[in-house]
Amino acid sequence: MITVEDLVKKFDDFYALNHIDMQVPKGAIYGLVGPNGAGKSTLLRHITGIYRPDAGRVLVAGEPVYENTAVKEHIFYIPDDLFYFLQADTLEMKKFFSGLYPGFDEKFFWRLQEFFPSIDLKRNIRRLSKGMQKQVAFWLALSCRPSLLVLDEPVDGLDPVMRRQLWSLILSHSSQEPLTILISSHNLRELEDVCDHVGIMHQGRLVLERSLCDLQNTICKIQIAFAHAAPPLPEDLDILHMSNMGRVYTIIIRGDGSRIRERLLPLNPLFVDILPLTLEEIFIYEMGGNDYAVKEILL
Amino acid sequence: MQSKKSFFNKTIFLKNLTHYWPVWTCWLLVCLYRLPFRIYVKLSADFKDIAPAEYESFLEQQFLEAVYNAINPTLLFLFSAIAAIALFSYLYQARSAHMIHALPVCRESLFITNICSGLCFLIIPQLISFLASIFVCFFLRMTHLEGLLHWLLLSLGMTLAAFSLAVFTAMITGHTVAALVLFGIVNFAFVAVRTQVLCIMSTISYGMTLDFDFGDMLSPLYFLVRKFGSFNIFFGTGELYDDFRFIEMGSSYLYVGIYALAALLLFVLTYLIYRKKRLETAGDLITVGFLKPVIRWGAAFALGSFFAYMGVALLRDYSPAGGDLLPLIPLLLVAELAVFFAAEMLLCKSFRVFRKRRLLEGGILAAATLVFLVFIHADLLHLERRIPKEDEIEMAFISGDYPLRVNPSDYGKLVALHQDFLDSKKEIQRYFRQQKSGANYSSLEIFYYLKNGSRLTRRYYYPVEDRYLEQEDYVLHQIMALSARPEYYLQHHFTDAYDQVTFVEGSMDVYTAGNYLDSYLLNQAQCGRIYQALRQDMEEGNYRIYSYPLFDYVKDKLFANTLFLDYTVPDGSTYAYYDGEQHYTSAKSIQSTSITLTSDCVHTLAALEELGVLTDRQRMVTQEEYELHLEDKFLEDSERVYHQ
Repeated sequence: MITVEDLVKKFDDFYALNHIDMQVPKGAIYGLVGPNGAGKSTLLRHITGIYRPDAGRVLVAGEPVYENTAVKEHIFYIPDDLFYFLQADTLEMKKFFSGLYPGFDEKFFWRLQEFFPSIDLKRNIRRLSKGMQKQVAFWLALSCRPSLLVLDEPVDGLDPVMRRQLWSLILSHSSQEPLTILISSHNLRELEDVCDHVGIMHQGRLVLERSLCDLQNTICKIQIAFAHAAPPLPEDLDILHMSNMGRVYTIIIRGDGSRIRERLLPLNPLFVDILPLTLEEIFIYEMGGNDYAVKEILL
Repeated sequence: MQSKKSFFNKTIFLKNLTHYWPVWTCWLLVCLYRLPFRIYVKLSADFKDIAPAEYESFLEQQFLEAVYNAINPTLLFLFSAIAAIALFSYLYQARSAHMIHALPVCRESLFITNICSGLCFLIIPQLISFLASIFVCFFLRMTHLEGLLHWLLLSLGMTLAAFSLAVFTAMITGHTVAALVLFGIVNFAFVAVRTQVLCIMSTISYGMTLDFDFGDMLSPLYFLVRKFGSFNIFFGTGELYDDFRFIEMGSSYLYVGIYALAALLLFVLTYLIYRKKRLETAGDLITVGFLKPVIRWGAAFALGSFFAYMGVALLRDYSPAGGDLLPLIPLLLVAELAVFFAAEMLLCKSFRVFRKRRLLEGGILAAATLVFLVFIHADLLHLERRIPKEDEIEMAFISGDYPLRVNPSDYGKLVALHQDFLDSKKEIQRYFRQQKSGANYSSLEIFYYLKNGSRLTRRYYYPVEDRYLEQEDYVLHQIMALSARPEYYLQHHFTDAYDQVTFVEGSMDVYTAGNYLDSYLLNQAQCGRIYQALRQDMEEGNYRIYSYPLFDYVKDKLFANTLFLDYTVPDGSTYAYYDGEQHYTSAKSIQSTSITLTSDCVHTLAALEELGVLTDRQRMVTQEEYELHLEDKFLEDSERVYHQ
């Protein structure tokens, strides 16, 4: 759905995006993670056609997105910092978006009203709380029936209940519609439950991009116990981290879990268990050289 | 996906119309007030004093005054700026810029839609006012409506000019206040910079003046306000007359047409800027990179030279004869560099601007300034020494003791006088450097209109002191020889149609018993009699006009009394004024002249006695007598009358 090739953006002498390559498959929910200042929002603004690249290109559905109205009719962007017209209420904004997005679904808009019972349609949006303003943005976005939804820090500032509601709304919508979602966040935990693809940014570069499945197959966490002291482990194992509590050792190893288990069984352990890794742990060990970045996104 | 483009977006247009209704509503009210309402007020007043025969023409003049005054472009420019800033205000905040540009509307559509919206905001209220005015005119039985059409066409042309400029300035800035300020600056920038250049030149060079009107059109509001600023009709002495600066329709349409064409080009240029505009510059003072050096250098020169010029005037006695290069150099360099870095701080929104690159640029600015100053001082362009040849002169005026148009037969004398001033440069500059504030001096301004269509103006200051006056070839004597001529005096007081004067009335200041100043009214016949006597004095060389610095030399014979004569002359009669331009009179307008006599004007004094204006109880008072005995009393009397 989205192809970013060798994208460069400079702000004066500063590289905000430094030769980025990125692929977002159609129908994916792609989480873009990175610390503040990593370039996530800048990248999203290129993908939504707001910024003109200094070099490289951004394609959505195979077409350059910048100044391409036909492509942008299928993209809806919810920025971190929302903007509504002065004095505008939800109905007025609905009228505005329905005039610009040919796919705007009037019936769907009214159907969605049940998800947002606290929103007064005729109240000036700028007088609503930040959370309510976000809800209005989602309401309008989904009503436009986009095929690509770009969300910049989408649930920032919302209470936990509303976060959960919004995520469930987006996920249920994406399961029913051919919708690709690109979400940026500086909080990895937030994305873990919703994304199927993840990209991590650091200092204007995309340092890692995988599907969650791939990631989970790349690193495994093994708990192993020995009757006595641990024997020397096979040297060809790519051990990223090892710790122990008594005779129970927890080892993070790069590679396929079942194959590693096969390699460890000859050492006569008391037991060998393969445990699930959280996304957080995967990034910690995968991103060993980018400590700061990892710390930032896990906080 | 096939990329499709639309030049106009209805949704954005309707959004503009509904969100910015205060802009077009206010402008509509202004237009309705300025045109139909004022026409109604002007035409529906009760003009009891107007003779029936003159009623129709008077009404027409009232109508034209209302219509032509509505052409004044000041408010149009203000509302154009407000409209442009409102329509493009989404570019001034990152979040609004991002939201709008994420929408499925290309910049071309946004731009064209916003331009159409703005033109609708500005033009539709004018059309409504035009139609309402036609209705008012028919209602009040005014059928000469050509003026209204002129108003509409000129206003539409100016609207294009004003709005295109406003959109341009709105586009190159990223801040609402900056856009408004920049719009004001752009409208006056050329004239301001030109004035500063001339100020610097007049400080350094000898004889240079600020009179230089080339390129006024590059400061649109300044130019248009001067052209269409205000029009007045007067009604007096029982007869209608006008002091109407009637719009010369041909040149007006030419100028406004040029502006309208330039507006179209400016729209295209602005669109190209918008296409390339980087949205991350939202909030910046200037968002177009290549304009930043222009702002830095322009501000440095314009403001720097202004401060330096003021500094020279404050720190030392300003020499009217120029030659103030040395005090100007450090002041100009310091002021320019200060403004240069202040501008950079504003542009960068940071105080940390003293980087190597900027310091280098500042150094180049200082060097360029020095070169500029030396360039002027050395008169490398030959401006200071420029004297036109006699056969190059189409028309010439001088303004010394009084303004006069020089006869072609005197061009040789004028050129020789000009040369003498240049030859006396060192001596005159030395005098002013030595005397400073104690100098007693006069000046002569020379205006040449050359056959190639250009105008050359020089102003020379010269000392009025005994040691100079004793020199027979001194410039003052040459000026006197040139200007003390009966026909020049007659033209000065009674226009070039001095043989066809019809007097209306007059008055003579006389001192009565107790030295009270009184005014003796003169009727038409008395004015005619005095005119004859005065003319005889002029022809015999008894009458002279003296400028103020010379008063001390003639105060024993120069009277403090003033003679006033009101008269009319045929249409199109001409007279010279201090601005060095030829002015034309209307047969309907009453001209007025004031004459200061000397005791040499024996024929005029005799006529005044003969007419009973001067008697034992009503007498003339010389300047000397006035200064010795009457000045304090006169001031006391004036103060008493004021308090009463």
